[in-house]
Amino acid sequence: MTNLRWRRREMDVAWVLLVGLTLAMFLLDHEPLRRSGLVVMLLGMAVLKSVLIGAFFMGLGRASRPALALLTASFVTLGGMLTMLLI
Amino acid sequence: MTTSVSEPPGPTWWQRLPGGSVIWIVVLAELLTFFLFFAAYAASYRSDPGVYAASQASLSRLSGAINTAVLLTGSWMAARGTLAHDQGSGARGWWLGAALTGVLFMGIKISEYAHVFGAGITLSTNGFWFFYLFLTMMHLAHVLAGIGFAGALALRAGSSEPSSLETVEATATYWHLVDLIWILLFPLLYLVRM
Repeated sequence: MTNLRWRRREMDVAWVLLVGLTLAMFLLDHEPLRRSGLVVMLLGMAVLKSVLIGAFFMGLGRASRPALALLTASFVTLGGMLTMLLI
Repeated sequence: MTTSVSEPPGPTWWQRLPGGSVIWIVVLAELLTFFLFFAAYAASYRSDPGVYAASQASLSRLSGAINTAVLLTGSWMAARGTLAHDQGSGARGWWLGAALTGVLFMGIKISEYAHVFGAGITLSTNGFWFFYLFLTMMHLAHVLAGIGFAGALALRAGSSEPSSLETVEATATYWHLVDLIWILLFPLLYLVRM
């Protein structure tokens, strides 16, 4: 039961973090804050959100760490590739 | 006399994937397809940044951010619904909630499309609008399928023949896939400018 309670708590905390990151992305994208590093920051946040979803919502963090590592590597590669293409 | 009894081999990491390995092949295939389109969009953006940035500026970033939060909430509900199914109670409400977030997402997206089409914009207006309409409509078709899957789980939850845990996990994994794709679409289409 304690384990289930912790899993519920993990999911709730992950949801708060994900919505918080979305709000941060929206707030960062305003003219006074726009700088050359913003593309990297925004894509980095998107990659972090993808990893959070994989680990806590998809359950890869507990069930299959190699799969989580694979998903993380894919998103980091994509983020890096998009950054290079966009800057 | 001693006998050694060998332990049967445990499940390999791909056998421990939530929802079974087939849904993960679907996930990888879908992600690869969308990733190729993202790369094409980024390369195309660089070729005509002025037109892309001007077109992008007419999108409502607030709608995009709200839709992101809506889908994330749906994903959270799907995760909680899977846990509730595993525990044996309360899954129906979570899955119904997940399906409703999908409906809300569609409503916001359709109102965006009404604004875009009302301004006379089509797929052939320019490169940005082609990618915006094509990628978001393809994503919307996935959301529609997700609403159907989540709705079906909600209907079956609590009935005499509830869905198996693997079916529930596969549906949740599909829902998270739809969320993952949007997580990248939002910054690419609405936020990132050069």
